[in-house]
Amino acid sequence: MKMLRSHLLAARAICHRDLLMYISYRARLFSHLITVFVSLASFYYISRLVKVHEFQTSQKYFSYVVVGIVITAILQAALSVASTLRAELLMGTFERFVCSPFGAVNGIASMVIFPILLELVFAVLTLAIGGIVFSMPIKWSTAPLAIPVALGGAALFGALGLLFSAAVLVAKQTTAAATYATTALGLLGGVYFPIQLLPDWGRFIANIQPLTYAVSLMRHFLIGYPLQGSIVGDILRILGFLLVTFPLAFFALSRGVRFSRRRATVLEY
Amino acid sequence: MTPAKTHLDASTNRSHSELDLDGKDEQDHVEITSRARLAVEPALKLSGVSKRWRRSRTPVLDEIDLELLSGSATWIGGRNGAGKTTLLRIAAGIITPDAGESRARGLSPERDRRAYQTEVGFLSTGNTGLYARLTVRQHLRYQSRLNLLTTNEAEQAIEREFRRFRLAEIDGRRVDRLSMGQRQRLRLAMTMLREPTVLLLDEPRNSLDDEGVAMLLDVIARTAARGGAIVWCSPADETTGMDFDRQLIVENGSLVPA
Repeated sequence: MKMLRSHLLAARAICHRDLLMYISYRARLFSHLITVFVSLASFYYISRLVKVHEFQTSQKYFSYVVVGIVITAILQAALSVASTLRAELLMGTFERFVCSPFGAVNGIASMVIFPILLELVFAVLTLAIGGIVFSMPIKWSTAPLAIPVALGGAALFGALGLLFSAAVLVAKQTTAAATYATTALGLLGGVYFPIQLLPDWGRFIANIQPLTYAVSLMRHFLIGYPLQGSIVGDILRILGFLLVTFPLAFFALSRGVRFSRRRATVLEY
Repeated sequence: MTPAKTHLDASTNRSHSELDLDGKDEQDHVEITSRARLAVEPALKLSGVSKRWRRSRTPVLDEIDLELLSGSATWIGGRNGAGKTTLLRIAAGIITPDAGESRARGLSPERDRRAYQTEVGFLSTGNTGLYARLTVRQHLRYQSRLNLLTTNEAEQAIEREFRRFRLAEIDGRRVDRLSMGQRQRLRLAMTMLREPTVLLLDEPRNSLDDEGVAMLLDVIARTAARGGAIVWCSPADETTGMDFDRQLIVENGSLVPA
């Protein structure tokens, strides 16, 4: 119990470290908010041009996209742990994890927490600005159900971030791969348009990747967008992805650490 | 400053195990706790350690054997690229040797990773490993958590290191506003937070002024006095300011007397 507590305190210390560094750049929070506002404003006016059967009103498309970009932002935050790890290697601070009783694997896993929590806060802010400034209709009766879905999705994306971190330990450079992954998952996950518009192969990929179900459930709970499948089915799929991806991520991470220690490249960049 | 000189004369080099168990009957052997078992092991033992870089024909370290007993201070020198840092990194459990093994108090860096890292403190060369935007105290709090110290232990350890390295004068300052010598004092304080019993120092004098060197030597003396073992690596021409129990050089992959 004492050991668990000390590990949780160590993970919290890493989150606190990341928070301190985030707020030490005073303009960062402000520029983050500006980015959210500009993104919302852009899609608000783009949505005025969308007049298709799928979305009877422009506002419906706007709501559809806002939920998509909120989820994508969480995915990007989770995958950013790979580039943060590379920065730690460059600064020589990763050595602190490797030499500490807390350890490299736990340290890297803890690094994924702060960016995800921060992006979850910004997700709420984005939806609030969307609702208040751009009159985005929120389905308040089911909106609270989006919270566990968001947390489950965030955990799943976190596991993907750890997989990319394992790749950083081995290959050192995965920024481009993370960008491609985010773009591909976004295009094939129904972030900007329904996956029904995709060709057969695209729909097949969409159905076997987790972003699709996280986005679809979030939309259903937040704005009442109809689901393709059932709520239970989508939740089970997310849980299934979690059950597979999480142990896989920790396995890959510990193998990555072991491999780089053996190759003596663990502190290289 | 002369650190405790113990156990290094080959003629008196009885193992701790022999010293501690002399005169005990078999029952006592059975009752030795795991903690006591650790205490009788050499502080650090490298056995047959070899490491070869990829695409290199000769190994950087070739079947190195090294045993450090409690209370000893060892200097390891060698020209640039001889393998001093590689040796320290293996001893610190950061990298894995191709052959052989490293043990600290009988612990393995693979099987007993957490306990091993609790015993071993490693100060890398240079002035890296710090976060530019964090203050001195924030660094120590952060490091104490990575060391899995409890809140009380952490606060005590932080105050102790503040005194040892006179960090109060730079307490609230961000690292990017510290001089190189002040950064080195902070790095030393972070290394000493959990009071390691095996202290591995890679060019620890880096940027330290006379006052900083005195603090460093004091910490080394205290570590030796409480049964710790110290390894100090530096180029052959660097003045360390202290006497060592043993002086070795890494040369052509081997560890030879200086």
